[in-house]
Amino acid sequence: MEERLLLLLPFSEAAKNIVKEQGLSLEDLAYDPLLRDARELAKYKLMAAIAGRVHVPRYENALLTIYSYIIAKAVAAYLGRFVLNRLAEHEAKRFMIITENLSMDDLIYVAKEAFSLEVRISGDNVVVEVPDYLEASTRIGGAKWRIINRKISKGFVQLPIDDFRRMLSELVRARVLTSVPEVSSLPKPLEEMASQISLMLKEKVSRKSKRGKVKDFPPCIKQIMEKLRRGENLPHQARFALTTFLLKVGWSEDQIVDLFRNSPDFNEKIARYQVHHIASKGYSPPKCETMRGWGLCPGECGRRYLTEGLKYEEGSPDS
Amino acid sequence: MKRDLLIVRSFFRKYYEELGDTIYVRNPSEREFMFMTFDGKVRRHFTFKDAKSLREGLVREAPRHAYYSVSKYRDPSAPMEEKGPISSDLLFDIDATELEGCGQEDIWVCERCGAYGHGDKPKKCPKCGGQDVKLLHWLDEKCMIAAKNELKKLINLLREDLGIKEEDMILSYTGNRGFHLRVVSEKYSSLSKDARRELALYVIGSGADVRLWFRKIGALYVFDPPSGQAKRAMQNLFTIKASENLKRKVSDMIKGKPTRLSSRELSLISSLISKSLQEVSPKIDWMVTMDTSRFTRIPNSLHGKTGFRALLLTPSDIDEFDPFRASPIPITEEITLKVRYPVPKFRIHRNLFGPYSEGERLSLPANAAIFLILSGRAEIL
Repeated sequence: MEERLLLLLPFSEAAKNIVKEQGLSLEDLAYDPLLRDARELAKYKLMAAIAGRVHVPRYENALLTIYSYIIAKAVAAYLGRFVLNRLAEHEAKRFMIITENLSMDDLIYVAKEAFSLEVRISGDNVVVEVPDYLEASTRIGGAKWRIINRKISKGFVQLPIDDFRRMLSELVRARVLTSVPEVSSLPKPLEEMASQISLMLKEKVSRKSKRGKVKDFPPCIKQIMEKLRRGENLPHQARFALTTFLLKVGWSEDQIVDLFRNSPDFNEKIARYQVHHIASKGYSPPKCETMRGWGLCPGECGRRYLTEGLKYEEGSPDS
Repeated sequence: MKRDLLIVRSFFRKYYEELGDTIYVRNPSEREFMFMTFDGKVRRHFTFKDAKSLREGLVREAPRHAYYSVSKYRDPSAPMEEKGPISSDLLFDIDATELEGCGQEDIWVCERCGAYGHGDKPKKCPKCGGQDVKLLHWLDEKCMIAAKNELKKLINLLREDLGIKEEDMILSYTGNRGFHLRVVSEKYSSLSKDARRELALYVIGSGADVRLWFRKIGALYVFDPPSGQAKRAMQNLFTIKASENLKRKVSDMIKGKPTRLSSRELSLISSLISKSLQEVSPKIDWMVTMDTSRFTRIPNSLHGKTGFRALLLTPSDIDEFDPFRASPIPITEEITLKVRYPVPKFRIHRNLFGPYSEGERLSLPANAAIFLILSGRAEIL
C-alpha cells in the first residue's frame, strides 16, 4: 500500500504486516530511543482524545503513525473502556480530517483494503451494500442516516461522497474498539504515560458535580446514562431524551451539562446552549413509542407501553 | 398434569412416532433447542447431534412446544455467555393478534366462577370479583388472510429493497396465528444486533423524515422518494381522502411534476405520507428481529395451543395456504368433549364444526377436539 494511504489506516492488515516484518514488541516500543517520536505522538493523541480535541501533527510518516497508534491503543486498553472510547472517537475524527481532500478512487481503495467493503461508483455517489451500511449507520444520529431516507434498492445504498467518508469514519471507530489487547501491565515508560493520562482524566472528572440516585429511572434512561458513563458517543435523540427526562425529575441545567462531560465530543458551550434551549422550551420527555422508534428502548420494562409516557419518579435527584 | 393435557400429549407423541420423519433441521448440532412441556416447564440449553436423535427426542418428550435457536453456536448446550455464536438467521415475526380487526372471537374467562365475555379483558371478574381472569384467543380465518397479506408485503420489501433472494428466505407458518420468515444469506446472518434493529425499524416504516423525500426547484416541489418504503408510501397516496385540489396536486407529484405547494399543503401532504407509510409497512414485531437469542419452531412440529403443524412454505404457496386444511394434526379418532365456553364456527380440512354453546356434549375427530381443548374452550369427558 502507498505510504500516504497507510497514514490513514494504522489499523489495517497492511500496517499489521509492516509491524510483523519489523518484529517489534511492546517492550521495544516502550524503550527504543529511536521510537521516542512515536511515544510522544501517542501521548498527544491520548491527551487530545481526553480533552475532546483532535491531534494531527504537521509531519507524519507511516511507521510513526502505525507505532504511535499501537502505543496509544495499548495504553488506552490498560486504562479501560472509557479511554478506549475516547481514542476511538479521536481516530474517527482524525480520519475525517485527513481524508477531506482524498479522491473518490483513493477512498474506495481505502474502503476495500481496510474494511473489505464491496463498493462501486455511480455518478457522484458511492454504492455500498445494505448490511455494510447498516453496521456503520446505526451509530450515527440524524434522519438522513436512516435507510428509509436513503436511496436504496435491491440491496444497495447510494451515498454522497462526504457521507461515505463519515460512514468509513464510523468503521474506524469500531475498528479501534475491536480486537483490543488484554493489557494488565505496561513497560515502565508507557506506565508513566498512562499515569499522566489518568491524572488528566481525574482532573476532568472531578469538575463533574454529584449525580443523584438513578435507581428509579426507567431502563431506557438508565441505559443512556450508562453509555454516557462509558464515554460512548450518543445519538442526538438519546441526548434529547435524557435531557428532557432529567429536567422533568428536577435536575438543574448545570447538573445535566456536567453529566455530558463524559461525552467524547463534549463542548461545554454547545452543551450548555442545548440544555438551556430544551429547558426554556419546556419539552416533554418522548413517549415510549417514540423511544422505540429511535431505537432507544431496551424493552425491559415489561410494559406494553405504546401509548404510555415515560414513568418517572418526581423529586430532585439528590432527594 | 391435567388429565386432558396428558391425553393430548399422547396424541402429540403418536404424531411424532408416525410422522416424525418429516422433521428436519440442518446441522442441528450447531443449534440450541428449547422444549416447553405440557406441565409448563421450559427446558433449554441442549442440542441434538443429528436429525435422527432430534426425532427421537420429540417422541420421548412429546413437548407442547418445540423450538430451535435462530443462532448457530460453537457450543449450543453451554450457558448463554459461553455458547460462542457463529451466525444468526435474520428473523421476522408476523403475529395476526396485533392486526386490525383480529381477535373478535377472543373471550376473557374467569377461572374462579366461569363467567366469560367478549371485549377487553377486565382486571378482575365483574361477576365474582376474582383476580384469575385470562384471555382465550381464537384462531380466526379472517385474521390469517390479513397475516398472509403482511407476509407478502414483507417478502416484497426484502426482495426489492434489500436484494434478498427468495431462495435465501425460509418461510414458516407457526401453527397458530402467525408466520416466521428467516433470512439465511451469509451477509445478513452476520449482522450485529444494532444493525438488525436498524433494519427492523426500516421494515416498520420508522425513522422517516418525509421532508427529505422532496426536492425543491425554486418555489416548486418535486417528489423524490429515496427508498422502496418511501416509494410505496407515495404510490399508496392515490387512495387518500383529501380535497379535490389537494388530490390533484398529489397526483401531479406522484407523476413527477414539479408542483407549487403552500407550507400548509406541504405539511398536510407530509402527514398523509406518514400515514400511508404505516399502511404499506409490513407489521412485524421488530423486537424479535433485533434479538439474536430468539427461537423459531422446529418445522413440522406441533403448536401447543392449536395442535396445528408448523409448516414450511414457499412464497408461491402463500396465496393458496390454508392453515385449517394443511396444518391440523392428522389424527381423526373420535373424542367426546364437554364445551366449557362458547365455540364459534370453525373448519378442519373440509369439515365445518360449531357453533357450540357452553355445556354442550359432543363427539369430534381428534384434530378438531385437540384444537378446542388447547384453545381452552372444551374439556374431555
